[in-house]
Amino acid sequence: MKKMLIKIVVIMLVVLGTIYYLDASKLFSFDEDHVEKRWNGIYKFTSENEIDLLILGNSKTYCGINPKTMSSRLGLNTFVLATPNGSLTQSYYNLREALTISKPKMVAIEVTTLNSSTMTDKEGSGKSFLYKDFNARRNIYEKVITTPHWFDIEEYAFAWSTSIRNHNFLFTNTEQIEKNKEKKEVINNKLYLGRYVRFTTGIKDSILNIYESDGPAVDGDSLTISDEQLNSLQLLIDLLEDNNIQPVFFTIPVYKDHIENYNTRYEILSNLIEKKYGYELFDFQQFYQEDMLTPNCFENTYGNQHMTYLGSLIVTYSLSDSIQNSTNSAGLPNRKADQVWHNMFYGEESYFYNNPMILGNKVLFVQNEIVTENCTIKEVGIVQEEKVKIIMAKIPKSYILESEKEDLEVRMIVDVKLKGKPQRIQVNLPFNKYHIPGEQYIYSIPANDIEFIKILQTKVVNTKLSAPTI
Amino acid sequence: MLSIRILNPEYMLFNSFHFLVFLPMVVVLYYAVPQKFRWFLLLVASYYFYMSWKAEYIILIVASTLVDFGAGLAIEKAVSKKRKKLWLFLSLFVNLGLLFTFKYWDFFNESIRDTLNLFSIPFDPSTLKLLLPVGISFYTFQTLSYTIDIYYGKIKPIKHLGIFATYVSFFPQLVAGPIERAKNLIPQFYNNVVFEYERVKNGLLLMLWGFFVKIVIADRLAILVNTVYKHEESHNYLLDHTGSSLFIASFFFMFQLYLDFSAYSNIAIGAARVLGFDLQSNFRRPYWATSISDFWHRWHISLSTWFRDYVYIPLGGNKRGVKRHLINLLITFLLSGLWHGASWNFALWGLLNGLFLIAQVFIDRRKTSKKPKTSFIKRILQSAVVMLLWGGSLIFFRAQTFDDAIYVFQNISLTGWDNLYELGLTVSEFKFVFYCLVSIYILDYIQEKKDLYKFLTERNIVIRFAVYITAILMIIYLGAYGEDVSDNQFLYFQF
Repeated sequence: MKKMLIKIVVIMLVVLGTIYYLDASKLFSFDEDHVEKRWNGIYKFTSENEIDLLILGNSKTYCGINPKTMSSRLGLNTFVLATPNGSLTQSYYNLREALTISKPKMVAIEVTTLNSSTMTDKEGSGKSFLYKDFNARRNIYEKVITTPHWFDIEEYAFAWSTSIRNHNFLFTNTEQIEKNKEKKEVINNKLYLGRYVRFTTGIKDSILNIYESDGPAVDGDSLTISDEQLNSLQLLIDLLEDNNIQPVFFTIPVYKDHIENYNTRYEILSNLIEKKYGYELFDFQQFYQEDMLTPNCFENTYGNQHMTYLGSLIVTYSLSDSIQNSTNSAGLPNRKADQVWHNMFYGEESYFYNNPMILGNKVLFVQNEIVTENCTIKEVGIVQEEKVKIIMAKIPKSYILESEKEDLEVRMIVDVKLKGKPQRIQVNLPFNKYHIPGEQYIYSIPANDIEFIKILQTKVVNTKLSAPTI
Repeated sequence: MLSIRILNPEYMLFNSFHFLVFLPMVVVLYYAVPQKFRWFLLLVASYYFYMSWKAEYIILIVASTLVDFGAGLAIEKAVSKKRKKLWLFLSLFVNLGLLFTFKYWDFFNESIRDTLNLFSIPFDPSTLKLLLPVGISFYTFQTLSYTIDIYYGKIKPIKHLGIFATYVSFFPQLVAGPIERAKNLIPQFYNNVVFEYERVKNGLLLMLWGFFVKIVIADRLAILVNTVYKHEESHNYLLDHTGSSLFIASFFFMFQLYLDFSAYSNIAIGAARVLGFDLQSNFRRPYWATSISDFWHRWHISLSTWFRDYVYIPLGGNKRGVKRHLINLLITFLLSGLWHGASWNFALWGLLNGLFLIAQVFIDRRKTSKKPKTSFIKRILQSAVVMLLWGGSLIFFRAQTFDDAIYVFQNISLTGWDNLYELGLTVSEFKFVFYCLVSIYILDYIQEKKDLYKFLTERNIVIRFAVYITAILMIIYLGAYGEDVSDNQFLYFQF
């Protein structure tokens, strides 16, 4: 028997070694997607920084929360560790691994993940994403602990080995193997905090018509929470309490006509989170901001809805303010006094909206402290967002009546270069309702092809009362 | 605490990770416990194996076990022939009753309804729509052979209920055979098995070969076959295919069935051998048969011999004149067809094979008794004829309805090869399986002449290890399994 065991062990070692080699060589891997990028991102970020606010959830979360905006707004380090098709059970085990590399002060949990699903329900793309999520994780101990809770015994090999899971590449995707053979590791130093921008256009008329004819896609009365998710919630809260981490719960909204009878769902959540556990629930579906959350804020589908970039800004600011005003935000740091923090976020998405545009010797602005007839414009700046250049003016809230803000416009006569030719033009900046930093209102407009030279004249006018030109 | 899903597998197929964990555990425990307790370990393991599919259906096995154990003892004790017959009848009634209820009740009622409807007589029978218990056809036949053999005085009844229960439910062959006779298997439970290196090695290699054939070849053939023969309520995909697509799918199915079932048998025999048991072999290179009757001596041997011993011979076999001989053949094959499945397609498949054998009887009567030496070319031609007849009959076996089978017969041809690579397999997959089939066919021929196992085990350790490791890696990396492969059950599990 001993002789046979030795032979079997030798054979198995060679086989396992080959599998390990193929996995490590990534020959059978797909190109890095946002799931892998998110885990790589959190490991990279926490190698040098501490996460202050960790956000857990599913695809609605990584589409609906902008961690850079939130970080810029609150002056802390925010990371979104959400997974496609994610459930709270998934969030719990992901949190366990995240806590081995960072100790956030607060964890915000998106409650769409508290639903009727169980891990055994996952199939198709949901299962693929689960494998990817598991595969992208790095802590062997945590992965061992997670395995029996996420997978059937038949799936263990697929979960642990990419080359076994994607072995059919040998017949069906040889191009990917060839591509992987030639792939070189690219070092990307861009700040990544878990966001995934997927939807840019909002709900169009054709979909609105379906809402009108067919009614809401989801009935709040039918939304339940499985025992598995309830158990996971208990485990998650226990884990956070053991680590002295403050939990908060929130809901990413869907378009108001997408769901009916939301009250029922809200009551269940409220009873569970607020009454049973005594934590805050920021439910942006129940307290829907109708004036802001227009069809432009939601993915153009009837069945499933994620937020567009615009929608995410509204929810991010709303959540930021809710957290800031919450009774439990005392433990959160404010890193705005920290030059290292500013250096990290300088020029990143939403940074200029929420922070002064001048920082040390880095200047990206046209002019500041412009005194006009009726107010002082704090800053006028050119902001380079991910794909678009924006000219933006910040006016302190104290100068403007809340009821008037949307009627106002910042108008400027500026010398510019348009496609290389010097010209003098008027630029009108309407109110930007999506960026609402604490102390100022933002007026902005995209200005992609314009190279600004000098502001000659600036005026803040009420569009209802004034002519279109200065 | 969250539930750990390791304890709740869907089903323990031989080609499942669950089985790969289960079997080594059983083997280690088996050799660790004293001989007198081993039957108990095997019984627990076998019941666990079965219950991992559908726990409540274990009641059927227990019922069958208790009835046949009791019937066996009662037949032995009964003084009068009449009483013996009564106990045998009870055993037959219970076993065939279970089989009929779960497998044939709906088919029987629907057939009566369809027949009466032909004469405009309304009949709306209730259907049970019961889930067919896996392996019911196998273990009921196994237990039936026990009571019948006792009745005919061929064996003595066993006095140990535990060992009898283990004989009925022995997990390596529980769900798809080989159908073992009591006189072969039961005595082996009393053997004091010690770990024998050569026997265990032989068992493991047999299993490895079974896994290779099933996962690498048979399951990849299944992709194409299932694509072409797919028939759903919403759409009958079969009707989208004509000509060579039907030919290649039917040709592949002929090999899929052989490789799938022989692979299962090899794994079953190998697993049993690791535990020290010898099960009868089920296949002997059937596609190198020289005739249809030779084929039936090589195909699903444990079932063929069962029907021979318990149906064909009791009916009179070939001893009661030519006419009766032919009728006996037809009855035996009709029942064999229906054993496979409750549908007229299986009945027709069985009858067709019965007719082939009848034709064979007439051909054989013209032959001289002297056996001519067969050349290689002649063997290939004989093999081709066997495959043509057998493969043709399998169209009834594979098609989901009678109309589908007729459609295939009407439209099958060797024309229109241009959509060959649109049938579920990529070009490289198609070439791969083609080379595999040619290799299997050649290997089977070599096996006719030479013992390949002996040939392999006589090589030096480097070559042997290279072969074993390559086979395992091929199963892992060239096997048809995973997210893209929806169904990789063994074909004979459905019977």
